[in-house]
Amino acid sequence: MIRRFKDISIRHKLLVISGVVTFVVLIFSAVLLISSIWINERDAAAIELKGIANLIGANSTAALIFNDEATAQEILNTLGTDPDVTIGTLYDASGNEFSRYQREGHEQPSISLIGNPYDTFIDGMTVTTYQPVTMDGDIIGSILLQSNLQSRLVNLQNALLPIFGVLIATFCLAMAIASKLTRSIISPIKDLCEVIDRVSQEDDYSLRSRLNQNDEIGILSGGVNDMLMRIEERDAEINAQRQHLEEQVAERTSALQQANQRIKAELSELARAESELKDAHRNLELQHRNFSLLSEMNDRLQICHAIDELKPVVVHYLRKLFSSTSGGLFVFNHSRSLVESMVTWGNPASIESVFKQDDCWALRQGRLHVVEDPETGLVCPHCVNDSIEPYICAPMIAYGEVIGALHISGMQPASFSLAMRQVITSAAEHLALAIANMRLREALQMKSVRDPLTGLFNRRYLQETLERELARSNRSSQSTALLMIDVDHFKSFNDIHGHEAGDIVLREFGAFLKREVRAEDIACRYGGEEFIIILPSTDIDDAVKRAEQIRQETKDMHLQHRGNVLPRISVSLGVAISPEHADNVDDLINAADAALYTAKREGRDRIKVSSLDQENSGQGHTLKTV
Amino acid sequence: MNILRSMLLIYLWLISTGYAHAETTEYDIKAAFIYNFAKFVEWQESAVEGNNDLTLCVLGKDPFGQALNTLRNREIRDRKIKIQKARSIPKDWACDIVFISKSEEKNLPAVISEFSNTDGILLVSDIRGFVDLGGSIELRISNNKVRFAINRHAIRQAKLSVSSKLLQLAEDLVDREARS
Repeated sequence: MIRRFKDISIRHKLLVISGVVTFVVLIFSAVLLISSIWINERDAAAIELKGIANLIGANSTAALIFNDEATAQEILNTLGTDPDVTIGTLYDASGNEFSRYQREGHEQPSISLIGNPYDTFIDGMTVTTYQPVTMDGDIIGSILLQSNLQSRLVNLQNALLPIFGVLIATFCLAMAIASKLTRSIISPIKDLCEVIDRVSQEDDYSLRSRLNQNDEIGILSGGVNDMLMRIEERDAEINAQRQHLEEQVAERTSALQQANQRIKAELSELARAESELKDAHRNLELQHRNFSLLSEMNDRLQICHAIDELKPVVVHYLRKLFSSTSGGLFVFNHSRSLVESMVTWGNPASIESVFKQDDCWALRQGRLHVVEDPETGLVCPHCVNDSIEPYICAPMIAYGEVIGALHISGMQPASFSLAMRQVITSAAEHLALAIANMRLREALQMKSVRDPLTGLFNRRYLQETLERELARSNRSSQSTALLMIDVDHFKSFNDIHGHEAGDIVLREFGAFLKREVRAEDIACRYGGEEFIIILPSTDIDDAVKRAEQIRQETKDMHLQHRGNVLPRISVSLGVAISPEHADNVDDLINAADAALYTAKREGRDRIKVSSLDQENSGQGHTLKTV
Repeated sequence: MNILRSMLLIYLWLISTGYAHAETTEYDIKAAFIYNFAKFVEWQESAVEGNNDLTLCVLGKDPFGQALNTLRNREIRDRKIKIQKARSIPKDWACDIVFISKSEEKNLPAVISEFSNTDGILLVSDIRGFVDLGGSIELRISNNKVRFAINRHAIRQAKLSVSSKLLQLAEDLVDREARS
């Protein structure tokens, strides 16, 4: 309801307000009027009744005084002329009922009047009055009258119709006036609204309200005009600014586009750099892998003991490093006259297995030789086949000495990168070092365990080996035989034929012993012209047999020195057996030495077995001659 | 005054109930009637000149006994009631009300004519036929109640006015000269 009221037009609002106000005022006035009329009617009725009572009372004085009930009744009966009066009762001075008038259908009120104050009161539709009757100032009785207000009510009802007629007429008149007055308020507002409507519809801010009055609407109209004027001015300003802004935007846009292009260019540059970086990274990783492999190979090579052990390691890692290639490792022979193939992998058919140093450009120059295109490149003469693939030859140089060449062929062109060349160079270096070291190690070992003159094991090696043999035979409960051999009359031989001849004797005898011994036997030069042979797992009889064999065959040896035939030589031998004769190295050697000494003393060119045994060592024992 | 008034009220009550008290005699009531008549009768100014008393004279043998004494010195409209008694009419009588006792019945017409020449005197008597003989008010007993009759002509002759209320109560209203 209130919402609906908010939405209706001001004119209707004003009409509703004035209507409601008028209605309320009129209704209030009507209620006031009617109630005042009614109150007046009642009061008038009360006053009238009181007057009647006094009149009747005055008329009844004589009747009361002279106790004339009939006359009193007559007087009371005059009340019948007033249709409103329903009851009239006269009381004497003692308050006893003296005479009564009663309209038909009305009961005497059952109220005790003795002691009641003389009063007139209205109770609902009934007016009651109780008045004294006086005579010369003396109260000689009292009178009670009651009347009905019915006829007064009828009067009031009769008055209602004209009252409401006047009310309705007044209301209509008020509304008509309100409507007229409202229009005078509304029409300027409407005009103003129309101006605003047109402004908003036509977007024409040059329109102005033409109202010319000094009330609030006039102020509003002036305000609207003022506002419209300002909007017009601001529009102009905004238009100017917008134009300026558009120019600026165009300018900025073109700048932005240029910047954008620059950024795109930079981005592509960046992408390229990134891909390059990725390539580099990949290469680095590859390089890292290659060098890891090289390092790994190097470690493996270091723990190899012999050249032959190197070969599978080399093949394994070179295949890994240079996958899907063929190639080989070529090293100088001992005389450094030729280059021989050490190991090959893949399909090395295109390379000769033996060639001269001059046949390889790498060997000749001492640096990497790369043939990317066999058609145009300088091909090494050692590459024989017609269908030569691109290849690389790398010289293997260690300690300033060229050891050989590393040949790799059948590679991808990408493998000719600087990185790969570094890998190849590095691999060649590592291999050269490993081979050189291995050779050095072999030579060193040879020198430390061999006697340079005879090529037999030396005394130090004997000591070590004999200890091991004894420990082993001890564990396996086998006997180990030791033969001690001495060349007879060697001093005089030296003296007669010279030291060179002596050396020849010793060297030839050593070579003879080398041939003579079994694989498991160990032949040593013990010192001077003394030799020892250790015979593992050999008992005394076999040892003696072997000793005898050596003694006999020595005699058959033919020695020459500078074309001269040297005299034949003979040897003496001492035999000792562990554990029968001794259970440690020194004792065993001493036992054999003692037996040898015995053989010498007894005339040389003979064999003696140690007379010692564990039970009575240090005692003399039988020399046995075979 | 209050005591007197209440006494009167009791007395009037006794009348209204029609019950005659052992001590309330007929003349007690008649005395009250005479007193009440005075209330409804107006005297001319001249009649009371120089004398503001209301004088009640009893002519003949007084039948009231003590009843009249109760009226002595009561006031009606500021006039003090005085009571005088005489066997025959004295020369200097100045009476407002004259009650003619039954003892004067024999020479009543002479008595009435004696007073007829004097204005302002209300003649009251309980002699039968008093109003017919030219008396003003005649007290009667009818139906065991005290009643009265009025001769309006006689009252007019005496230059008195009587309230219509009193006239209304009269049992009998006569308006003629005394029968000769």
